[in-house]
Amino acid sequence: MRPVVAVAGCPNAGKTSLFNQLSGARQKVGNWPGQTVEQYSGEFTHGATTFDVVDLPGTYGLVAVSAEEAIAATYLAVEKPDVVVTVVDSSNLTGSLHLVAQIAEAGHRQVVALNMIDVAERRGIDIDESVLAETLDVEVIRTVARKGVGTEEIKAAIARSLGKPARPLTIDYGPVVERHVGGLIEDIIADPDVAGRGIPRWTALQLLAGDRALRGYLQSIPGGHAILEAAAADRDGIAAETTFECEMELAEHRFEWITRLVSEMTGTITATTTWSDRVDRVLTHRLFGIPIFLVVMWVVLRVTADVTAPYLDWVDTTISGPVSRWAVDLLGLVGLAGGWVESLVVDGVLAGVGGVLVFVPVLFALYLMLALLEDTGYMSRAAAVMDRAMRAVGIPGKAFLPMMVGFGCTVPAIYATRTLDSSRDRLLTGLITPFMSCGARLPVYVLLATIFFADAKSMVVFGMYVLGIAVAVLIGFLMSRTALREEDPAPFVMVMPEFRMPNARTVWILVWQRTSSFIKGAGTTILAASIVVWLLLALPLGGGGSFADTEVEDSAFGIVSKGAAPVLQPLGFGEWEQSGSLLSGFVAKEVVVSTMAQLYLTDAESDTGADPTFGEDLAEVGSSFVAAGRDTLLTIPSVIGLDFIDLADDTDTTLQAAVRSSFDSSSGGRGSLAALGFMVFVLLYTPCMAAVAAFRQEFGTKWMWVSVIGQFVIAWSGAFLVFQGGRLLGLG
Amino acid sequence: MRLTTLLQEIERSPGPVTGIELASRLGITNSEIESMLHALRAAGRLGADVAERPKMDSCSSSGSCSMTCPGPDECSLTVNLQVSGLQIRSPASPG
Repeated sequence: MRPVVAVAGCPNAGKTSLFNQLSGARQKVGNWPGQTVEQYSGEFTHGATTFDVVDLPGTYGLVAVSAEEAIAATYLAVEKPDVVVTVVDSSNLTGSLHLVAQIAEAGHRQVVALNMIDVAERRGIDIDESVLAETLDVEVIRTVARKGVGTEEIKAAIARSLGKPARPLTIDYGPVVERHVGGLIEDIIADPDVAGRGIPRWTALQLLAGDRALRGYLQSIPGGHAILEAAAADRDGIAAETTFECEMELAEHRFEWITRLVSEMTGTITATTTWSDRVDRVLTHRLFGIPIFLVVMWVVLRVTADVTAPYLDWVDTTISGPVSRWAVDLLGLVGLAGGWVESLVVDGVLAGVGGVLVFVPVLFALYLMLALLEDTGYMSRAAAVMDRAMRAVGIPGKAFLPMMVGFGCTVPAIYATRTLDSSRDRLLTGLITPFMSCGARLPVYVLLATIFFADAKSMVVFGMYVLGIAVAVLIGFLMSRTALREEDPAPFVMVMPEFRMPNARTVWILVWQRTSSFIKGAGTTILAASIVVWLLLALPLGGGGSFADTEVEDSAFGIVSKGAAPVLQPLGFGEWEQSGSLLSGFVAKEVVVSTMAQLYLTDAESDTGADPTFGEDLAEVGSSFVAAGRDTLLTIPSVIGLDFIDLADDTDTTLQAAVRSSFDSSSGGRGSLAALGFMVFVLLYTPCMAAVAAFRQEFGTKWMWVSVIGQFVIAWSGAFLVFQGGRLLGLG
Repeated sequence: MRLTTLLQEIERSPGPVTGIELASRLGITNSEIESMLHALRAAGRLGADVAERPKMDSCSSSGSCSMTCPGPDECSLTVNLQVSGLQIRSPASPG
């Protein structure tokens, strides 16, 4: 029979790293009996002995509350492994030693891995491990599991500890608790079934602490009920005599014991304030927190909208020029030039998908900034700051968590409302989350802001994000005072990571995953939507013409869009191209841009100059890429107001000129106002079909319709206020 | 500082509260608060606020996300706030 080693530890202490180091590649994955939690096991050899090794779920202690804690506690109590290796986070000894103490109290043979010792040393924590070794009569090994430091020493310590008898730790819980524990131990010893579960003192302590797994076991055996009744009486007795809850009385004594032990191990008694704490005090300050958050957002959007402009132009020029020419040439080679296939490829696929791909640099920059904020730990501070502000107006405490997720995508944000406690809080948050500006709306803002607000592009985009938050807060406030009245908020501790320097690899992985996800979306949804729009544009419904040879106004798309256009007329964008773009935007917000590209570029005049050769095209693509890189570098200082380059280009591209002319014409010469209203409409109406489906799944059909209709009414009203209000004030 | 005092302070909080806020209210450092939160977790009086995660297999068959969306936990567009929540739990009486 092989000796069995269990690896235990708190979450994030490096337990799995040590398990991987011990077991190497020889791992098996299964499930814990009756659970969906995965069980990892393996083996290692030291000397002549081969050990089986089991990775226990991460747990802070052995009082079973969660499923993971129950698995760890039950495994140790029932399977009784030969040795337990407890992995400790050396930089947080006080937090990690509860588990070590409880495993020692339970009488297990133990080896302690002082893991992440390098982090502790960097923080100036000098640990004397001999104090812990002598107190618990165990071997304590310094490890850096991530790098394999100390793994062989752990294996040797495991082998040595096999021959040693275990010496259970006894913590003094004070006279009151000890008296009750003594009485309970006598009851436990009297019942062989219960006594066989573990050492009686530990079983008694677990009963007093309210361990659910042990209670379940006792309820299943004949003499268990009597012991449970005795334990309940002891818990009441302790509570009456100490005026504290029984489990808190136990926790207080154990905490005191650990604090004393840690001060002996490290020679320090007072805890220090870290630089992360000091930064936290400023960033989460009651008064400065929100202004700092707004400044951070402004910088993010300034970089996103302005610094990426040279690359945006490069992608646009490349797709509309060389790529389109190559596609036409290629079709000519296979004899498909000039027909409906060319129209599908150039006017449908390239105009639609290409129109969205132009914004890849913008999204790349947004995802880069978000990844930097995430990896430094700032996003969690932003959530805490905004959460406090929103609570003040009656919006549920945890609402800002899903709302922040909504900056990336509305669909997971709606699902994230499940983290809220009551159905009222979940619904209210689900109703306001879609107003947060997701990444898919950004291309619409950038396109229109570039055309109509070139000098204040980033400020307009920033304004859209802030408006989204403001509308969400306003709607939340109104609903919490009317249909969804506030309930007592649930107490809840937000645990945030420490501030740290961003890790280049982590940031790159995040940016790449998100950008490639956007590109994949362009290759699937946007491609499908572009083809559908092209088909509807090619299909003649009114007037004359044949398939793929009809006036766009007389196409199926044109007729439907014309039907919807009057509703938008008071908003300043009542032309059928604009209503058609917004209709297609129900599928996804990027489709607004791809549809605009398809509609406005269909009749655009093509360049009549001589086509460059393939080689000239390639050379131009390469040289313009280098130029875009140079211009981007020169643009970066503009974020802090230092302008080394003037990228303002008074010449509109074909699409920009067509969009400008359309908005000017639909608004009676107030194109800027109409474009602003259009952006507000895009911000506030239904984000996409997937978001609607997610909402229906979470809140039902009735609330889905409330959400869709409500968003439309709010979007219409918002755009109306912008356009008509602006007109009254003589703007635009 | 007693753990009970911290637990009472959390119970008194109207909704979410951060470690820094608790440290400032109780006049101790954030690292002391973190150690005490660990102790309360080990004692079973605070538990992770893990909400049931939705299954995405019933997600819409239309829309921009549905074709590639692997679920909120794995969705690459999800902004990871790195905030974990702790809620007060009352261990059931052994009786």
